[in-house]
Amino acid sequence: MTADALQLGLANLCIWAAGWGVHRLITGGRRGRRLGGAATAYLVGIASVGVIATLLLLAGASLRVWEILVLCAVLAACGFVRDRRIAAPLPRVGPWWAALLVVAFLVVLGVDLFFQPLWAYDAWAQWTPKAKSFVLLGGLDASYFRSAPNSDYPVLVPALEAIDFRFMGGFATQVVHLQFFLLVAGYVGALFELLLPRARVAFVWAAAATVVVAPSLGIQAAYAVADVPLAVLFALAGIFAWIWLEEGDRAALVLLALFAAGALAAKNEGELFVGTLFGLLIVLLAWQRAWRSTALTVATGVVALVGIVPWRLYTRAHDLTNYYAGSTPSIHHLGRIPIAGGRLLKEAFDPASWLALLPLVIAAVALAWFYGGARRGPLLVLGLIVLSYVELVFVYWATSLPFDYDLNTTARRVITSPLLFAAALAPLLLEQAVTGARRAPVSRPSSG
Amino acid sequence: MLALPHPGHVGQALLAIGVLIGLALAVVVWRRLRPALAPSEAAAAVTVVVAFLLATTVAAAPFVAWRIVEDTRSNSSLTRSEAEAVGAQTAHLDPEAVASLGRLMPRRSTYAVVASKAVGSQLTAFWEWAGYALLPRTRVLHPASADWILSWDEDPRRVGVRIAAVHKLVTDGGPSPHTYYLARVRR
Repeated sequence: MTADALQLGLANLCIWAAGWGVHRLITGGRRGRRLGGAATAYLVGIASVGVIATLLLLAGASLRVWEILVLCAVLAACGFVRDRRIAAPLPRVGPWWAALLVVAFLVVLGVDLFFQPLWAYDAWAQWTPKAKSFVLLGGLDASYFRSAPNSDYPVLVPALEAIDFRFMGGFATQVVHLQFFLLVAGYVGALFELLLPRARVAFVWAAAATVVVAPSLGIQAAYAVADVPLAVLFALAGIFAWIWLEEGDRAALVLLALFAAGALAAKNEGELFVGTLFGLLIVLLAWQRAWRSTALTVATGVVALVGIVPWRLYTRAHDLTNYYAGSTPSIHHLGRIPIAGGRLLKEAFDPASWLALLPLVIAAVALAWFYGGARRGPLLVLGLIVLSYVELVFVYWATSLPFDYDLNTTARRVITSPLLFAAALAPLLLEQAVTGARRAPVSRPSSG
Repeated sequence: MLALPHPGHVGQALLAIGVLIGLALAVVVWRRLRPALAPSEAAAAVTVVVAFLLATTVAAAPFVAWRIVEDTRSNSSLTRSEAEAVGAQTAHLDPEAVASLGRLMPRRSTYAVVASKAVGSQLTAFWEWAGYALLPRTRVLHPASADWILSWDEDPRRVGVRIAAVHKLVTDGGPSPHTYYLARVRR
């Protein structure tokens, strides 16, 4: 198992190098401190390698080790296009005392995931078999997918697992859980890197510690399904959406496109959340009459579709089943709406799952609105939570699957993306509450 | 996580300890953060929010950590083959039966999965576990287009395709004592 873990680590080191190159290419290296460091670069690597691996599978590749090494080397070399100095961004996590609880908890979680068997139903029924099929069948095999559960689900997560299996030279299904641990650790590191330049350390530490300790995140990481990867990628998209909205940094817009593409390539719900995020951004920018920024955001949203459109074309061409294809809302099923709505609220507010995370977010929205006079940030966060909630209730109302089964097996997981998004932006809202929106760290340049 | 323990006395004691530490931390945060935010109108409200969040998080931390450590203790004793079987066992399937019959099929062959009506909703889990465990043999939806038929409590000769040979496996123990068949489809 130790050798497998080291080989998985090597695969992720390659992904980190690729992310370092892409991150430097996008940020030019100069603004790295404000647009993230090592952890952010790792997640950039996950998004870029994940999306490209999906495209390579569609093109007939089988994600052999040499293919991944070449891909990562090319992406890492991109880091020298705009700046030829070698300067690896180091993790920035604030004072040691602030990081101690978070790091200790991550270590406990990491050790647990190292020994975790592949027990969750969806993991062995759907996600990991797809990854195994990429390795054993030499790439994307439509005849296998045609009989696979949820065969139309996008394949970023199986592609990442397949890369891990290729580096391991086998199928260590316990060790592969470390991939999900690394995503969680990357998310927490990126919170510190991206939020500390914009919010007080106490605010960042409070949000990061709550996310790490929240039982639901660790449990879901142990599921080894796509909800945590989707949530992490979507939350990063959310942070860069905020930076674009509040600071007008175009590098943030490019990073938003990258993470949005990653979220789209991770799971079907990504379409719902990413669509909502872009819709809100466009409305908020148009409301300010920032027409040029609005147009750039629309263009960015179109670019992000690279994460899903090629896969959708493939699934249509090969007649891969969409379990939800027959879903239509029915007046006979109106009774589902309060049940689904109540269940989602119960899951989101349950302290045994997410501690006091959602109450914190709601309080932060209210404080930023009433004390800070902020409008864009609170509307972005509250709008995404409310719209996602309404959309998810609609999905349950319309589901063609047995309603109780669908709700019982997914309600806990589908709220993870909006919650990690909101947790990431809560410290920025608290900062707006105390500094005021007009005295935000960086004012928006005249881009529209 | 597979083996999270019920709270019990240990869990309750850890929660109590966590609450005490959390309360102490809330006081520290109130005393140190509020003056730092003092020029702001929102100082008191923001400090309350941060102190409450940190207090609840720290209160839960020892209990949550203990549950994860107990889960680790349980899972770390599993051998690799035991860990591989956990998924099937949680779905009340017999992984050994699937594996032993699956080994009789050549790699890259195709198979269909059938079961008697008595198996009921377990058929889906059986079908999905086979799809995971038997790769690179690939599952197809219809017996007529398969090289092999894997069956649970259903004689494959009744499926409606011509059968060349049948292997039968009767399990008399484990989570689901049943009869399994593997039949080669005649071409």
